[in-house]
Amino acid sequence: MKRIVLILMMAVLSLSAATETELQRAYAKEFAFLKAQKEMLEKRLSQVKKEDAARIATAKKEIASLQNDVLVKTQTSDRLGEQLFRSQQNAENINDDTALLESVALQGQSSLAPYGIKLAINKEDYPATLQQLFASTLTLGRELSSVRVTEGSFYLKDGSEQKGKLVKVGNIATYGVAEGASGVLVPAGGDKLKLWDAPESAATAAALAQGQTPASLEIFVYENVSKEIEDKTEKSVMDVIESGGMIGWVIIVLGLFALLLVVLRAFFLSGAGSRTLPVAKETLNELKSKGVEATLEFLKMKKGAAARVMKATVRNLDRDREHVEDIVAEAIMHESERLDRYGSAIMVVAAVAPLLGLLGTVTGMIATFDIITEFGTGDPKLLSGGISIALVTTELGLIVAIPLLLLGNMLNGWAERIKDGMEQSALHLINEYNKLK
Amino acid sequence: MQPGLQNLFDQFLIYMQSGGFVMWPLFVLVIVLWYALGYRFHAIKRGSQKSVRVLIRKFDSGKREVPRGLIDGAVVDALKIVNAGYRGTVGRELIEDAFYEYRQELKKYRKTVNTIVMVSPLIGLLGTVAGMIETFDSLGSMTLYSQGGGIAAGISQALFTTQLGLVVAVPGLVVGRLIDRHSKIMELELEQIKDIVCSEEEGK
Repeated sequence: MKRIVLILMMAVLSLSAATETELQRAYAKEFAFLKAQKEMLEKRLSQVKKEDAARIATAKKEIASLQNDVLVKTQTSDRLGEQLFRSQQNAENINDDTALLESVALQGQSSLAPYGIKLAINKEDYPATLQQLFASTLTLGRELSSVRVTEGSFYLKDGSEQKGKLVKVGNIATYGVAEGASGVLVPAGGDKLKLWDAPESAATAAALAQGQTPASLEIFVYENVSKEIEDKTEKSVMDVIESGGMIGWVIIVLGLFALLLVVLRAFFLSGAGSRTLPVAKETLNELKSKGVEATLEFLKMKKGAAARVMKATVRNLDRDREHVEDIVAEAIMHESERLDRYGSAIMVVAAVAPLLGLLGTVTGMIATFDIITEFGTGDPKLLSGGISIALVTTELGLIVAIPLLLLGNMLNGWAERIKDGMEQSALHLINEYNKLK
Repeated sequence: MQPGLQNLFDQFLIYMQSGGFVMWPLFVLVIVLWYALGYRFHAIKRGSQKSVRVLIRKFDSGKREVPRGLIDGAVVDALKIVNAGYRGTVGRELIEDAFYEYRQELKKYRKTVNTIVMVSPLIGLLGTVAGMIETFDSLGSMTLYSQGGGIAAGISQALFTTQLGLVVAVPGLVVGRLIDRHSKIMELELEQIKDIVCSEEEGK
């Protein structure tokens, strides 16, 4: 058995040795095949890479050229768009201009129509239309800025219509010349004219109608023939006072009353003042030549404030000095009651009148604001009328107060001077008498 | 009239018209005011600037004889009375008597000036009120310019007269006060002369 096994073993061993060499051979064969394949693949790979690079390069070039193309196209499109926009604007402008031309032509047509000039508007040829418009306007302007005489009619003061010549000075003033009534005319509404209340303009009208140049031009310039000019009614004094209302009347009555007092006071003062110096002089002469008793008799004949003061002085000449002076002062005090009469009343009125005026103004303002609350501030006529009335009372107050202040102060000064004069004369008399003794 | 003068006169008339009816009274008042101020300014000429004592000594010693102003004249008058032998209370009374004219002269037109200074702003105010009335009347009828006024003329009148009233009053007030102060001082000096002359005579 052993042998068998050995043989077997030997056989296996020899068998295996035989297969090992075969395997090696096969491997080498395989290796050579694979190596050849690898080389071939590598060669192909490098070839493919080379081809790819070439293809990419051409593609890139192509992209760049296409981009350039796009850029150029965009720019062109922008430019075209702008051009389009501009053309649209131009078209609009032209439209506008056409509308403007049309409106100018229409306006010209309508403004020339009242003067009897017809303007044909040719929509195809505006330049010609405009040229015609300007030409006819120019001739019209020349015509209107001249003085021209036409036949026509105007209204007189009493409302009757009068036929006659109309002298038009440009387009701003008109004179009417007719038998019996001529003068400057003003618009009376509705393109009619009426005679203005200015008699001195008749000469101007007549001269202009005959084509002469008047020495002085009495003219009433109006803006517009169709707008009526209202006659400006002269406000009389009564109207002014009336518009001041109750307070206006109170102020006026107070003022008249104070004026009466001023007149009375001036009368008293002139009576007393004019006689002071002559009486003093005569008394002195009497005293020097005839003595105290005769002077007293002489003074009894005289009347007036100065004589009374002199009498009191002469009667007490022989008393001691201070006593006489007291008597003189007392006598003047007695007279001053008469001299100062109404003085303070006048000054009170002068002080009160502006205050009353202020009261009237405030009252008027309140009335105005009442109107505002009721009707709003829309109509300036309502407001300004109220304010103007409110101011009238202030005006009246001042008109009363100012002369009263002036006169009152003057009269006060006068009274003061008369009193000073009396005192002085009396003292002079005493001094002269004492010198004589 | 020369053309230049005529032109000036015309301008003056336009000026007067632009202020309305208060302008002429105001103009008259201005003339009276400055006449009165001029008179007062002239009246308060003192004469010598020396003090009253010095003046009395000079006139008394015969160094000076001709009086040059109000105080000088007063000194001469007072010395005349004293030298005639009147002194004491009687002398005082006589001097007082003699000074009456000087006092009157110092007082003259004082009241006139004060009155005008008081009244002229009021006249200006009156013109303003009249202008406002014109303005509001014109506003009512919406006439910007009219033959005799209108809004523009009314406003111009309103502003103009107040201004003129103040222009009249303020210088009058200032100058008047200055002159008043001087005349008060001179009244005191008259008293001083009386006192000095009489007391010196008593002292002799």
